[in-house]
Amino acid sequence: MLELDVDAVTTAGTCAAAAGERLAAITTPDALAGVAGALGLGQTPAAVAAVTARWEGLRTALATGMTTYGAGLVEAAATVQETDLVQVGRYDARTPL
Amino acid sequence: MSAVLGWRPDVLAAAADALTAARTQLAALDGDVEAARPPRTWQGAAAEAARAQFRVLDADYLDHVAEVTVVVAALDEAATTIQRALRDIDTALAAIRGRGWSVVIVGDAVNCTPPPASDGDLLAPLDRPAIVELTTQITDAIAAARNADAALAAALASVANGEVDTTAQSAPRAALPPELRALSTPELLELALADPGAVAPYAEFLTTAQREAITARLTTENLAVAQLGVEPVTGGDGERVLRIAGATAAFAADPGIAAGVLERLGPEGFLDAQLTAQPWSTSLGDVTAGGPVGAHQNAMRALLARGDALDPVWAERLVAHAGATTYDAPDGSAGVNGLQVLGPLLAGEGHATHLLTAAGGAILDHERAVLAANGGEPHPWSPDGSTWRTDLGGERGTGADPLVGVLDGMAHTPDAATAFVLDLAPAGDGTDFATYDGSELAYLLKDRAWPDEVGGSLVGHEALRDTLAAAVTPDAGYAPGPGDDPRSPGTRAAEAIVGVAGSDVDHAGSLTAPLAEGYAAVLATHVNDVFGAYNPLAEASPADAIPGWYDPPWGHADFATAALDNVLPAIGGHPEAGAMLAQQTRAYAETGLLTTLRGVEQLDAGGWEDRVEHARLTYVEELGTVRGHLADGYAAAAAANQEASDAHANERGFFEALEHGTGYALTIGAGEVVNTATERYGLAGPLSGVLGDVVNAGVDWSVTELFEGPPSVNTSRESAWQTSLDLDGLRLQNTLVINNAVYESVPVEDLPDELRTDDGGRVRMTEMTTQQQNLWAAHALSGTSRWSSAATALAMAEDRGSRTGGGS
Repeated sequence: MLELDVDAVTTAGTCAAAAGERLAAITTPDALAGVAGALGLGQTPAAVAAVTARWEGLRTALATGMTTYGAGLVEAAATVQETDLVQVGRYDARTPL
Repeated sequence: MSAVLGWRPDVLAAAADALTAARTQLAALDGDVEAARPPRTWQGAAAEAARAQFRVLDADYLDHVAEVTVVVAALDEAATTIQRALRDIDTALAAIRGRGWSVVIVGDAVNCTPPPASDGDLLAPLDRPAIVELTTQITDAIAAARNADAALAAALASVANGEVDTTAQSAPRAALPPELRALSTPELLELALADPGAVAPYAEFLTTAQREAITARLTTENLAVAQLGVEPVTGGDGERVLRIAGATAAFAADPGIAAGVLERLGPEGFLDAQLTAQPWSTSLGDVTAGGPVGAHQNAMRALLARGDALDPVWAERLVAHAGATTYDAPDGSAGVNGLQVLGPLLAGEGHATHLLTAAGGAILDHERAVLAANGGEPHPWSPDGSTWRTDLGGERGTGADPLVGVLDGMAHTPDAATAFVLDLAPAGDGTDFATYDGSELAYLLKDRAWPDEVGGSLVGHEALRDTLAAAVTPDAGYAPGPGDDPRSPGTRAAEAIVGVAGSDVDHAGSLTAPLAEGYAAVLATHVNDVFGAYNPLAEASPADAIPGWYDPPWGHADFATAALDNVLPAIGGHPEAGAMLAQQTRAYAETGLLTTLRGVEQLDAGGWEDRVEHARLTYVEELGTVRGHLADGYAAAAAANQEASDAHANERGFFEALEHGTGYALTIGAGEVVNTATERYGLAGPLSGVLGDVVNAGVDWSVTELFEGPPSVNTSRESAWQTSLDLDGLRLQNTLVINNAVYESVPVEDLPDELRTDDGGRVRMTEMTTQQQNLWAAHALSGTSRWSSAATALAMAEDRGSRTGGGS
């Protein structure tokens, strides 16, 4: 059986949280803002709208998901340390994003 | 007006730029995302739940990066295409209007109207085809812009529908196998050390943080090797060194990681690590068979073999530090120069020219300084008489001589070999022997002390042989500018080598077989200039005598005949070297003969006789001259070998000489001993049987008791007879080449019917029946055919040439 490195779980959680914060700051959809206007009456504008919507959702889900996931890992690591149990943790996959 | 005319490709390009910046930010998160992966040591239901969640997030992240990549590419393509379309439209519109026509675009249709009033009636019809063409250009451009818009929309739709292939488009990490992607950085690091073959091939796809972690770990592990302080051959240390060596060698293939490890180690750490992992004792035996020592040395070598990408400043520091540092070996040997620690690592392929030449120069500088200080003893690379070796292993051991490794590296890097030879070469015109004597190149070729035989090989001269051959490599891409030397560096190196080697005749006596082969390779590479040196008409040779040879890009080596007169016999004294050069001269002469005799523009006016005369002067006499010199050397060496062999046999007793396998005594001397035994003792019968046993099974010492003193072995007659046979064979081969060249040049219609094939060709000389051979020979001897008589005349000229060159 592998020996749990609790600090590694904490580190993973911290990295996830940091990634979540940085993802929230990256505005990929904004870069497409002028594209629809640049090709007036073409086929592109409608497609741009769909991509913008998808990326908004994706970015939010990623940022929030990473942040939540990271917090869950940190919490799980803390639980292990408190209980000194190797194979337990409170991480709950049902934690809403 | 078409909507296309209002499109803004500059906005699309700006969007692509903004999205590229966003993608860069996203990609920079790759390390954080990767580091967020749950560690493998976390097990159980909660851990599995976390992993499942991470897989979703990770996949979404990679999808997003991939999608942005697709859109950036589509935006760039659309911007470029539409910009070009609009420019084409503007150009066409201007051209139409320049002809006085008016033009309007309605929808995507183009309507042109001729100019009104008087002149329009006359000119409009003439303009119409051009107008139609310009109109077509406009409609084509509009269509191209529309297509670009449609392609961009399709790309966007694929993104919106989640149809992008993540593995093909996304961040580099997507190129990693799933089993690697599932690892955290610490886990990846452990795997990289334990099983480098599983990670190293994907090194370029790892995150910056992962690559830095591997770089740092390899550095510390190799420095740890330097701290072992003992010979890490067996036990746990040996296994550890093997593991480090494996990982170092595997990741040395990644330029960034290799450069990073070298930089972190520094020259000092690099040499410290290498110092410990050396076979300091001959008792270790063969270190090449995959043991820790050999493996680590080869790993360090791979790390250093960065080609010319190796930082020149770092390399300079390395050589300087090595030369200025004296180490104590772990076995207690003192006075190990750092160049001896470095030398073995410079063998093989892939080293920087600047590193090899710097190390070679530093080694020779050190030798000269030591020799000058101590009068020549002890040898600079055998401090205190120690017998330890610094063999790298591989194809050849190096003894304690660091230059062997350097030369081996140069043999694999011709530019370095050439530069090294030219660095050592004296300034001279090829005839100033006084300049050559005492030069650094003369020290290398003639005066330097080399390692003793290792495993039956003269490893030093073998490496030197290969270096000389590499140094004179013809440079087909050499293109000198105005004022540049018309001779390529390789050609100048050949000139210098021959000048130094041939500056005195005494050198021949001390020439080893490998070095003779090296000289032979130099001359064989520039064999046209050997012929040119002996050809009084060389300057007048027709430019197209042998395509590619007369005026090669690498220029001509100006060999002095006096130097060749010394070098060629020296080469001839070594059968393999002599045979190789003889073969090359025959091949060159054959090409020249065939080219000349079949017709050369400048010679055709004078016809066949002029061609034969030119062939005689340009190829045949020179071929004979070279043969004469080689033959002289061969005969002299054979006689010397015979005398030494006989003397050895007489001095030590025939059977002891047999045990040591001394040349002629073994093969020819047997008959002599039988004669001697017969004359003295009447033992021919029984002794013949004994000799058979000796040859087949070794020495029967009891037989020596039959003699009351050493036999008087004298094999000079047998040796001379054998030599004459060998030299006749050499002459015959040249004659055959000449004869064949003449025969092949005869117009087939002039050949006797018996020498023609059914399909109108000629019977190849090698396929002639005896009758056909006689027929051709009869023509040659009779002189009744101008074709065949030429063969006889040229063969005689070759023989005259051989007497000019030597005379044996």
